[in-house]
Amino acid sequence: MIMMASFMLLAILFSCSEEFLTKEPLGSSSETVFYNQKGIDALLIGAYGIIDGGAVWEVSWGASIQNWTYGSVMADDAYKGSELTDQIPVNDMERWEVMTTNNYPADKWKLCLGMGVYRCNDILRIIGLTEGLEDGVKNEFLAEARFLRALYNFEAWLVFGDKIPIITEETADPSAVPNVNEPHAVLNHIVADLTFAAGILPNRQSQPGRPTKWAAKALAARAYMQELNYDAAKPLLQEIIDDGGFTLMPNFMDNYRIASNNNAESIFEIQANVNDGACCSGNAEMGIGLNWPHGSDIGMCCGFHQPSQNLVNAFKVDANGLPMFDDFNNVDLANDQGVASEDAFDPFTDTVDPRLDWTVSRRGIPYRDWGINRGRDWIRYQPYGGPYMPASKPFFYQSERYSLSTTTGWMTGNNANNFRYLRLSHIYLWRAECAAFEGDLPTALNYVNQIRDRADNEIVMGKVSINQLPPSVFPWGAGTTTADYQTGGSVDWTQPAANYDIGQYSAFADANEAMRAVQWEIRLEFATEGMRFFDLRRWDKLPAGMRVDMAATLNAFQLADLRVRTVMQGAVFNMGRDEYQPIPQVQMDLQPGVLVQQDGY
Amino acid sequence: MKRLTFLIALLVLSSITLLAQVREISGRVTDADNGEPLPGVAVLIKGTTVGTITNIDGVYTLSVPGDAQTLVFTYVGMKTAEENIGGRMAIDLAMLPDVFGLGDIIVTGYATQTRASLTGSVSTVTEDKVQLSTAPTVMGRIQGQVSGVNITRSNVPGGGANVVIRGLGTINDNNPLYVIDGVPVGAGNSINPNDIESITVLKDASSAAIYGTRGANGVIIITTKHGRAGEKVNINLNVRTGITKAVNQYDLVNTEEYGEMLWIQARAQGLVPGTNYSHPQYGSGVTPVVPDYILPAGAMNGEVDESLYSYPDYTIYKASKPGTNWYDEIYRNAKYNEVDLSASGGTENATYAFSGNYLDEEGMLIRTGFKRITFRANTDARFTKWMKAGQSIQVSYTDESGDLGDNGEGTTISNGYRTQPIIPVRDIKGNFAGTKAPAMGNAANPVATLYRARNNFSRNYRVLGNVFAEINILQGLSFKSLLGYNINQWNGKYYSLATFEASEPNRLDGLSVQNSNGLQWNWYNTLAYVTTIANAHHLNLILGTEAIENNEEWNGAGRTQYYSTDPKFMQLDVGEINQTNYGSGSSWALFSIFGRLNYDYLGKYLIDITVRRDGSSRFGAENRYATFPAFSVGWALTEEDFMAGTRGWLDFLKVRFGWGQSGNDRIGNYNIYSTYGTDIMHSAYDINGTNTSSVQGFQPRSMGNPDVTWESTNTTDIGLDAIFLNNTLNFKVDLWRRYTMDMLYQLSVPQVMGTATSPYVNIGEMKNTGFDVELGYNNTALSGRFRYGVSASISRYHNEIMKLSDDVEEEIIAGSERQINYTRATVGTSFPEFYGYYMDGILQTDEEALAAAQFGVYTKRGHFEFRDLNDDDVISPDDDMDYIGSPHPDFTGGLNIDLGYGDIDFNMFFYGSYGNEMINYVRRWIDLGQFNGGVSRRALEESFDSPYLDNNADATLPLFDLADGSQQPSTHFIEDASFLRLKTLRVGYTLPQQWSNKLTLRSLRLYLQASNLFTLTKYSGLNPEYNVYGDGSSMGIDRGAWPTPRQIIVGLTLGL
Repeated sequence: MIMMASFMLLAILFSCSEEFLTKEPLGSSSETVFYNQKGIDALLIGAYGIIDGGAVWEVSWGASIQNWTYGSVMADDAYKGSELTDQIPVNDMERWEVMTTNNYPADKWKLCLGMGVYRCNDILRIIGLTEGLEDGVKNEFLAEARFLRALYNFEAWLVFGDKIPIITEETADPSAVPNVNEPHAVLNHIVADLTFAAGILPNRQSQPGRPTKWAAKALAARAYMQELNYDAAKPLLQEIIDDGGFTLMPNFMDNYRIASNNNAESIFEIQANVNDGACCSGNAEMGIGLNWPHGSDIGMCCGFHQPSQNLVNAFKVDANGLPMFDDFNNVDLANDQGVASEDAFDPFTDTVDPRLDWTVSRRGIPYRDWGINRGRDWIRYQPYGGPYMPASKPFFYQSERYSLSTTTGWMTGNNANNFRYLRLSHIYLWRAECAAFEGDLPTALNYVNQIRDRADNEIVMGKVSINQLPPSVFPWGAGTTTADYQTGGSVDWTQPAANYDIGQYSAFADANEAMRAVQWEIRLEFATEGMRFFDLRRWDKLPAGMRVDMAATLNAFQLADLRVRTVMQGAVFNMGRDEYQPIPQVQMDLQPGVLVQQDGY
Repeated sequence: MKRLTFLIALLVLSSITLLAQVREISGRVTDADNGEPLPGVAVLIKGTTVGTITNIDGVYTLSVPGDAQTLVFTYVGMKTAEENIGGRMAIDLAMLPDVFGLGDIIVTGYATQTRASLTGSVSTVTEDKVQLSTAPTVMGRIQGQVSGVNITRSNVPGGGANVVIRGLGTINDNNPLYVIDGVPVGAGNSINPNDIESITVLKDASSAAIYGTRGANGVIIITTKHGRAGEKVNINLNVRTGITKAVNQYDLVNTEEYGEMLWIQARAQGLVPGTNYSHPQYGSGVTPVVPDYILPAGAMNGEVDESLYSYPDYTIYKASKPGTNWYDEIYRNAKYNEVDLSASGGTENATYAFSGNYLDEEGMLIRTGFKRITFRANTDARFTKWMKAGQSIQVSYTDESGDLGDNGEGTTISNGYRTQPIIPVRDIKGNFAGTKAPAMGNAANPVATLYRARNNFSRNYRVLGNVFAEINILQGLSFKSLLGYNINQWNGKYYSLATFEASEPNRLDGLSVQNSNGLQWNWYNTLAYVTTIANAHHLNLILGTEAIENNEEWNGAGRTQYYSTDPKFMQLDVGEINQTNYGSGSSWALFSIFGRLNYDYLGKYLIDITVRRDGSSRFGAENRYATFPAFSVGWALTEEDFMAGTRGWLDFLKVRFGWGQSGNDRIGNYNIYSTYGTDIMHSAYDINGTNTSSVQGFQPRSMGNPDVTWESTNTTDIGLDAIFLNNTLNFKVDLWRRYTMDMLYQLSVPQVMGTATSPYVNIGEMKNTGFDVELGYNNTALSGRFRYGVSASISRYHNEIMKLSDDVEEEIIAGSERQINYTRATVGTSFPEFYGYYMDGILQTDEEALAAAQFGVYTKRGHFEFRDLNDDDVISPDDDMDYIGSPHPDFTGGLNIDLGYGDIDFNMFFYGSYGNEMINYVRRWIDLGQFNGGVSRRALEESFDSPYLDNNADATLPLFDLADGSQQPSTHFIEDASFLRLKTLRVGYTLPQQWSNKLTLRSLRLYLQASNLFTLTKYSGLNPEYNVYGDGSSMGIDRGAWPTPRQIIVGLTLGL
């Protein structure tokens, strides 16, 4: 009986012990701990944390802020690259045959709206619940959160157009918000956030990752440019030029070197870093984690985003060092497609814009300090991906390996090179575009020529005098000092690598000519930076004379590209459908009657 | 079982009865077969718990009250016998063997029952069946031996088994609950299977409901060996040694044929070799030319100055002219060695069982292996007439070493088919060669991978056991208290050494270490009351409480760049960059009250009622407690008078019916909480622009649902147990239905609602129906010299999702491989099924292609024709994909054939599965050329337009042009994976008793055993058996799993 009693006692003891049955999660927090300055800042960092697409294991490469698929591969700037069977969804994108189930747009949707906008709204809501914040601190938080919200909305808008839901911290049920909007409503929402942010954010931030008022204005200007609202964009651009305190860096390449991250030209950079304990350098720009040279001597993953022959041809210049607007793509600049690395190949001697060999790495030309490009052996699968290495701009120097690119495993290309998302050169050329549109020819000329002038300051050096690279020495022509350049005298490092010339425009005959020059300059200056497709889309809406026919441009590219590869056989770009990505089918299914699909899908 | 017989015996002994007119009865109990004395037989006065046990000589003495009428003799393996006392003072008995164990004591939850009195659906596996296999894990060993239990084994050394009982009750965790000697923990691969005395599987809710919230997926109760009272010391040495070898591999083309394949590919892609096609290795001619070197690419003899070789920057690879067979390079004759030493015995007041085991199992792939060392001590003692206590402890050490990746595209098995034959294993200086040579794809040299991972290990230290005390309070009333514990310490060490030979090399040597430790304790207290009223009503009542708490912690760290790769030097301290670390923990707790009543009337009418009330930390305060009721009834018809006429051929017949509710609480520990968390990847940012560091922030991590509660499953079971033909034929069948309600489903939340882990809600419903059949026949001939027996089990389940969410269109889409999903599930389907297009053959002509429904630009001559389900002449994923196959078998079954003649015994065990299909994802690589890896002979010879084909109508594969469309999920990838496998064939010889006695041995037995001698299947992959991977939603996708090896073992069992 004593036993029985104690038994019953035990039963009561334990059943009363709610404490015993309360096990709270470890290593995480409930919302209430963030109702203070430190907490909100931590949440804000969390909202910045996905800007670099570093969420690769949650979203894939389709979420990259560099938009290499939508902006570059789907345009005439670049190919998917790699191999036919790798990243199959991008095959459909390259050929403008995107299906609603393609996971790339789905990832962009997820990162921009599911993660980005949601986190910003969450922060704005929590700021509203937090008492005792100093006004200054609170306003800075509000401004940064709204800047980020605008940025994520803007990125979604680029890809999906006006068919995105406008959701704020006051939206009671985000899942009930339709994605059909009045004309300009999305733009206005983005600009409203940026205008608010610009009114509060400082001239400069002590932490370079945070936006300044100029970043807000620059992004607002870029947003206006998408709708060709030059009237609204112009004053913002002019103000940045006049009062922003930014100056062009001396060299074009300063925008693509780790050493000159966060420089005098930068308005807003996507911070990339390595060696912080994140797997696979996940806080470098993971969204372009596949886009590094593959195989052979350099050997990284995975050889995607190879520049197109069309882009290379676009760098051709005439006797005055000016673009060959009409006939640039009639004949291809000589390439080594189908030529073995061991076989002889003479790089072309045509004169080209010097930015070509910073943007594109091709056979026989030095590739940063990685040596002389060996051609086919350095390409993952040349018959498919074409003769050019993956886009060079986000790459790094061999001398930076293991310090600014520390990734182990297969994803070794991720590095600390920031993506200069907004910079003064953007502002100059957008300002020039505004000027061209309104016939202000001197202003357009001024800014275009400033950019071209700068492009002449630094050119790729190292003239290779042999047409068959010795197979026997690697790194052949690689290194950071002259002594490293073990080339047996077959490279003259005092000579330019190719025939470069870039001339200044003396004058524009009319607005149309000015606009064409500006458009060309935008293409060359920002080539492979994920803008081309969106630029073609907006220029398609310009009045005749200035208009770039997007469909005609891309379909002409498709046809001419068959000279190099067979990949684009039968591909057709259809205006009215292909200029926007489909709303992800899964989201359509989850919000029936709320979300509407794009036209044509 | 033996232990429990003993426990009951002790319990009986310790009852204090003071009744008048006591007299002494004594006697001797023997085995009717051979006349040997039987020690340890329980002798009870019927209807009471008064009794004793026989001593070493089979002799017993019992004080019997004057009114006692009958004595009951029970002994494991013998038919329970009753003897009328009458006026006798000496009662001797020769016990008859109980072939089908009606009198066996079966361990059920917190109690035991005789087999005859069971009313729930319970299956058992005995020691001899556990010993048939050499699988390293307990569950791996009983594959095919129990009806209703589907087990799929992994073939990596030390590989575990996936166990599903009676279909999939949930889309969440379908693992059953394991209870080892009263401790609710899984066996993993650290329990010595030789220590197992019996395994009981509680399959229906009426038997499993005693485990409440954890019983819905069934319960597997494992009991280890104990000594027996009155047993002489029994020392056994068991040694076995053998060879394991993989016997199948993919049929891939050689180096020369690979060139042919490339040229076929070029033509398929519209190129004209000799004109506009060129391959870095095989040249640009009209026909391919195998080069002498592949690095430098395509070089011929005389063109390469080998003196320039410099590792790693300038390495030189000769072409492997005949072609490297990567499977030959990584397969080996692996050694298997096991030594097991045990001793057990007991006096009347104490028993003991000690064992030690050493297992060294080399993997079939080079430089992989599994080692296990275990020690066990099970001891029980009776301190006084009314109290006894005991304990059980196992200490184990396991070590899994090498690269044991299984069933994924990055594993060595997969790299075996992904690496081209032209690549040599090593370069001209003996360093590894690989895909660094141009146009070689991006696979990893599998030999190099296995070599570099040779020092990788995953080690587990485990202490598992219990202590208990049992007190007899009054006659028939006893109290038991048991404290169980399970302590785990796990350490892993993984080297990632530089892979300079790879096209996507890792250039930095890295090391990561991982650790975890866990402690789980459970404490249960039960009050048991056994009584018989009026000699007819048998009552057995148990009331109990149990508390369980589980705490785990884990951490890990890594660094890269080491001065030396000597494993002695490579310690975290000396790594130079990329310092990473992580760590966290988890815990849960459960508190329960339960009760169980067994009642029978004269053994004819049986009733079992169970109730358990559980409180769990995994649920919110409002929903913390739930009650799970169950009952079952049985009717032993053969006990009825009106069945007297059937006794000539029907020995036993019982029908059973049970209904019950049980739960599943394994849905994660913290679903009720909404949380924010940090994450270096997703919430950190280099806000300071440092290039090499980031600041940690927070992100929404999970959306909690405080209303979440457990899944509950209602099971109905109708069963029949029968024994026929003078105890030679037994038959057991169960028809069952499981219906799961409140199935937890992670609602698909639109992304605009945030991407934190969305909450689980109790919304889904799942139905499973099926039957289990067990059939056995045992007999002897030639006056007992020849023994033969056949036993078979057949199981079937049909699984159907009845509800996922309020949206009937809701789908679970899973099984994503290279951006293509293969499996899916929705209301009305099983979980999961294959999803894709119907492939209706290959379009033979341009005209056919024009007439076919168009799938973008894919539809053309030589490509697949997909079925246009909605007849709109367009193939689209929304309209033309469908559920096209199922990984679920129609039936699974096992068949044992036991033969014996004199001293020779023979066993054959077949295991099979019928009607299950598999997605052979490997074919995307080797048949369709994904990623420039190895290519199948079939692709060479049977692709459309292959020069090996006389007629394209015979083509089984499309144009080898690597088109995306061919890779879309379709019936093309679905294969029938039914199989029948001779799992075991064993011949044994036992030395005749008189000879072993001369050697002063108790017994000596030698045996030869072969496993997996043949497999009949139409499946073209390496292993039709590997059907489950990861979570259930990706079931049935073969990504290149380790094949089931053939194993030949010689064994020796020696008794002292």
